[in-house]
Amino acid sequence: MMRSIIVLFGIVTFFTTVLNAQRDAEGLVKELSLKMQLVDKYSADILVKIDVEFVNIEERKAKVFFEKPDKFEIKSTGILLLPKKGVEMDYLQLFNAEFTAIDEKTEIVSGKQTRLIKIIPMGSELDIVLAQVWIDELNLRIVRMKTYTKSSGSYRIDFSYKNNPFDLPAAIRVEFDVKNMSLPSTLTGDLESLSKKLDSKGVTKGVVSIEYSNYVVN
Amino acid sequence: MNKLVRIELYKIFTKPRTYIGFGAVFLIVVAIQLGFYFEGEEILDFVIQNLKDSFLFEGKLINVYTVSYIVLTSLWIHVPILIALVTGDLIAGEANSGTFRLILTRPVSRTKLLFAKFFAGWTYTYLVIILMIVLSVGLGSILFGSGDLLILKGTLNIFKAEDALWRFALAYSYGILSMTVVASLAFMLSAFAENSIGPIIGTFAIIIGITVISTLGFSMLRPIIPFLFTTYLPAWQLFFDYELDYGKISRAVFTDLAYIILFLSVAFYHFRKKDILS
Amino acid sequence: MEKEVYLELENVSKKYGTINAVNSLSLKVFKNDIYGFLGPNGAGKSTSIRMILSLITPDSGKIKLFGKDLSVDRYTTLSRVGALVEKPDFYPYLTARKNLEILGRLSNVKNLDAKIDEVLDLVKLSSRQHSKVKTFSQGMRQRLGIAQSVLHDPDLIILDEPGNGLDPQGQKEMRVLIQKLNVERGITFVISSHILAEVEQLANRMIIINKGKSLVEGEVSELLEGGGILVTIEISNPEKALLVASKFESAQDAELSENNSLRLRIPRERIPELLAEFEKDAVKVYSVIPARSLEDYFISKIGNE
Repeated sequence: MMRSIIVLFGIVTFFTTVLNAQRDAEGLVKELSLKMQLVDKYSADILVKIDVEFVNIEERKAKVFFEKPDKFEIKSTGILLLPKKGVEMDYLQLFNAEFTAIDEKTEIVSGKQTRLIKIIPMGSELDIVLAQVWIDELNLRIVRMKTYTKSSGSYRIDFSYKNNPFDLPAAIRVEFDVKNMSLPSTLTGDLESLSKKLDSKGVTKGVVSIEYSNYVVN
Repeated sequence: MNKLVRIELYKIFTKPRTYIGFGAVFLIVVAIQLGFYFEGEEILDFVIQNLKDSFLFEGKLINVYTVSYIVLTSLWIHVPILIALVTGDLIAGEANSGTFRLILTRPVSRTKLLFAKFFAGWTYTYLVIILMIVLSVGLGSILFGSGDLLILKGTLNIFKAEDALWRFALAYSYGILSMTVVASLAFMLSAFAENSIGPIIGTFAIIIGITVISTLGFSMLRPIIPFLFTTYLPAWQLFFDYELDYGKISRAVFTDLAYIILFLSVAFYHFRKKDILS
Repeated sequence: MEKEVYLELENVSKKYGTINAVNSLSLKVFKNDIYGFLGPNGAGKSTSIRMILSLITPDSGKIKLFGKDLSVDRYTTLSRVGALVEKPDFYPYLTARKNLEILGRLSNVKNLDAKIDEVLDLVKLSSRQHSKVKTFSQGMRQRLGIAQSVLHDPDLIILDEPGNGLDPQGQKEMRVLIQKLNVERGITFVISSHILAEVEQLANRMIIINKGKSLVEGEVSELLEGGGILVTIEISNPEKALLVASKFESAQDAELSENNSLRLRIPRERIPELLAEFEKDAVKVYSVIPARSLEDYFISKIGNE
């Protein structure tokens, strides 16, 4: 008896968990999306650190402006180099479009209990083909996101937060694929670099870290 | 001595060919700058095409420093000719025109005369480079305004404007040094020649010849490449490495100094004893 | 009293490869001389002058200027020497005045502006002083060459072919100028030339060199008249005259020449006696023409080589 009760309980628990999770994954992402929709526009000061093998640049300060749905602008006095993907928050399109969300597992990321959810956009118009999102369910925040694109490989964004309005991130760290390219050194007449041409086929990881401050929202 | 220097400077700056040098620098710099003023976006897009696929560039890419850097790279091929044009003429020109008969029959020390001539030629050399600086930076500031320096040099280096400034200052100073090597070479050849075509063409042929041979990279020549002065003509670029390589820089500086001393010693030694037959 | 020696060469030699340009040459130029430096083209005149002016270093031998060794006291000796070597070449892109200014500075000339005015006036170039030298004719350059050689009041002036490029009028002016400077300012001259008349009319002493060697050096009058002067006598009866002349003891080398003439060498003071002899033998004398004496002398000396 006791045994059959346990088995039944187990079966019920299993199904409810799975069914709950199924519903919850989409629900959770939708909830998150709604929270993000609250931000109509914002501006912030950013501090950018770029770590790409063949790019040498110091930390830069700049100002970013965002306006729904996808207007994104950076103002910088000096030269600033940013990866095309990730920084422009193009992933927001993912949440605005139709998608399927699948719960994968729970994981501890940056010391936080997160749910890893796989998001597959339904249409084919987006560049993103697949995204994995690690969500801090308790605070309803994206902690990490890994995105696979048609055009530029994959990138991973780690978010950190500090009580900013609307839970906008305090910092992000974007890790992305960079095709190694042989830069045209002929123009500079640099004979030395001609001999140590970069392998143009290889792919390396580039990292851009951005710290946000002085948010002005809506 | 001072008197001789003044006379030599006077001669250089009343000679029409001197202004070919200044004129050429002026034309080239202005042409490059106007080119960038009107077509800069296209030129730069072409150069960073690859990068634009992956990266978003913000900020003023075309500015006084970026353009000045391009001026430096493209002008560095021409400046040695312009330097040789005047310094190769310093001694041979007098021989050719027969004026040594007028000045060396006067109570003038040949050694002092040569010092004065070299000093005057050196003054011309750094004035050419100063003209380059003034035009590049001056006209560039007016046309393009300030901004960060973006350089493709194996890697993509981006320097802040204030950082770019001292790098340019050092690169130009080094440029004066390496052009002094060119001036010394032309001066030495000039001491052996009876007309100025030889030393001018000779200087350029030596520079081009050695550069081409060392670029071809024959393995048997590889050990001597670090000892050739031509190896260090483009060494001003070392100042645009993201992290300065002091070892390389000091080797470039010392090699240049050694060649200057060598070339001048040969010139002085030969000319002190030379029979004036012209 | 022994005259002061301004320039002295002692066994000076210079070789170019295997060619002896100057071969153990010795000479002396005294204060106040106008010294003729003669020789055919390629004799070594130019090399010698260049050695005297320190343009060329001798292989051996000694050069003394004003009693001082040139190789030791180059600076002090050369400040007392003016020179014009070969073509008068200047900085063509500068004006005549600027050229003089540069050269004057090199020679440490005091009151340079006034001095330049003076020498330009001397060579009659004042009106063209602000023209660039490249617009100058050969004659004007030659005059400017003289101007620069006197600019620093030298005690000795060495002129290499000073008559070159000048027309006869110009050559005459040049001679007058040299004589004037010699007499009025006491400047000693060394004048190299292959134009013999130039030297004959100017020089009191001379040297003839050939193939780098000295053939003869001495007083012009002594050298030319030592064996008498060469004269051409136009007469009515050449055969008879030749007979008369060969009997006349002071006459030498008598020979018939064209146009009823007789050529012979005779001391100047004996000419009237010879003419009297002709008259005795009814030989009419129409003219007595001294030959271009130096030219003949020159040719006879060179020819002996």
